[in-house]
Amino acid sequence: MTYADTDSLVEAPWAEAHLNDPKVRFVEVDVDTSAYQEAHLPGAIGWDWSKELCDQLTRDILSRESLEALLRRSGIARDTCVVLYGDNNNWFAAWAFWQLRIYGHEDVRILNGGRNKWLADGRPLSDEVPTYAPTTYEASAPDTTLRGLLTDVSDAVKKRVIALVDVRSPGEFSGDILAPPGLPETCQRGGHIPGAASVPWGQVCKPDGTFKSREELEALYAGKGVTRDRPVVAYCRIGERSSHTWFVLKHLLGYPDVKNYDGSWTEWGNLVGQPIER
Amino acid sequence: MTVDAAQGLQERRKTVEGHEVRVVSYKIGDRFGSRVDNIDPGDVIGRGRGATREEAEDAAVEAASLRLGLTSAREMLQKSVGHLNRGSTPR
Repeated sequence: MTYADTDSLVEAPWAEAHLNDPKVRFVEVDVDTSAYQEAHLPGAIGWDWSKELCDQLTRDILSRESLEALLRRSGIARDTCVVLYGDNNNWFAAWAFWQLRIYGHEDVRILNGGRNKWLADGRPLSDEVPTYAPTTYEASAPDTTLRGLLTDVSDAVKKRVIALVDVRSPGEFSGDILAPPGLPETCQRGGHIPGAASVPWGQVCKPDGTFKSREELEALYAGKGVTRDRPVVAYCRIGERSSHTWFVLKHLLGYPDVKNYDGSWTEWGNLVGQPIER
Repeated sequence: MTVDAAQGLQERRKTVEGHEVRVVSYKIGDRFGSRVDNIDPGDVIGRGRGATREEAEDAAVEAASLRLGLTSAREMLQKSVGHLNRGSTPR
């Protein structure tokens, strides 16, 4: 059985065959651009998650205007096929995918296996930073159905009609640790949102970082009570791992109502008067 | 311009500052690159480059150890505060 949305995922051989296709723009997305500067797919541009894909002043996703500015200077038009990939198993690429879908970009895809598999396979790399002619990109109004906000999660906790998926590690879910090793703690309390199912993001991938089969993914989520007949909200610590899970549920499995709660544990774990479970 | 493909990608695990990490290294062109991640959940917490594999790995592990050292210090602090709150002396 193929994935629900076969156009949202490309394999490395397809990507290599389209490296010089002017209608395709490859974008390496990571928390910063240090890996990109080392080497990247020939012709790819680099996006810095912390500087270019978040509004750090309002702690928000990009405004429509900021996203338009990013896409214009990246030489991306409304009909460009945008292929996103990165390190960290495509977490930040998935974040970019989610935002592009929020603002209505139709043809956006994830490179299966991301940067690590590309390197492991010995595929071509470049250290040249390309420039492309700017475009006049105009984004659509944001599709708010793809984004979970605090009100959605509060409702989910009270009514228990929404399936909450916590994609963090078991230690974060149990509250034994407040952040993964080597990362800053961003919350006051350890634990999880009441009623959430623990499905760590990595359970959707094979050892090489590519996605498991649709059958395996459906069995994984069904076994946790996360089924297509219920609205789903995914969360993690800051929203990037959960955008990866959002991609799986929404595009690979075709669940109709999936939101990424980017406020995630950093927001919920710091709230006054909101319950948690351990 | 294509510079090269990555060659000789290797992966191993080691313990740094009390945490198990994954060290990946490879050669691109005439330089080596390395990254270190925290395995679960898999965040890259150190990167390095060098003229040799060892040099690149050392740089990446050094970067990771600084971040993991902060995590270890934080854990020790929390343990101490916990003991103080319970009125006992940490051991």
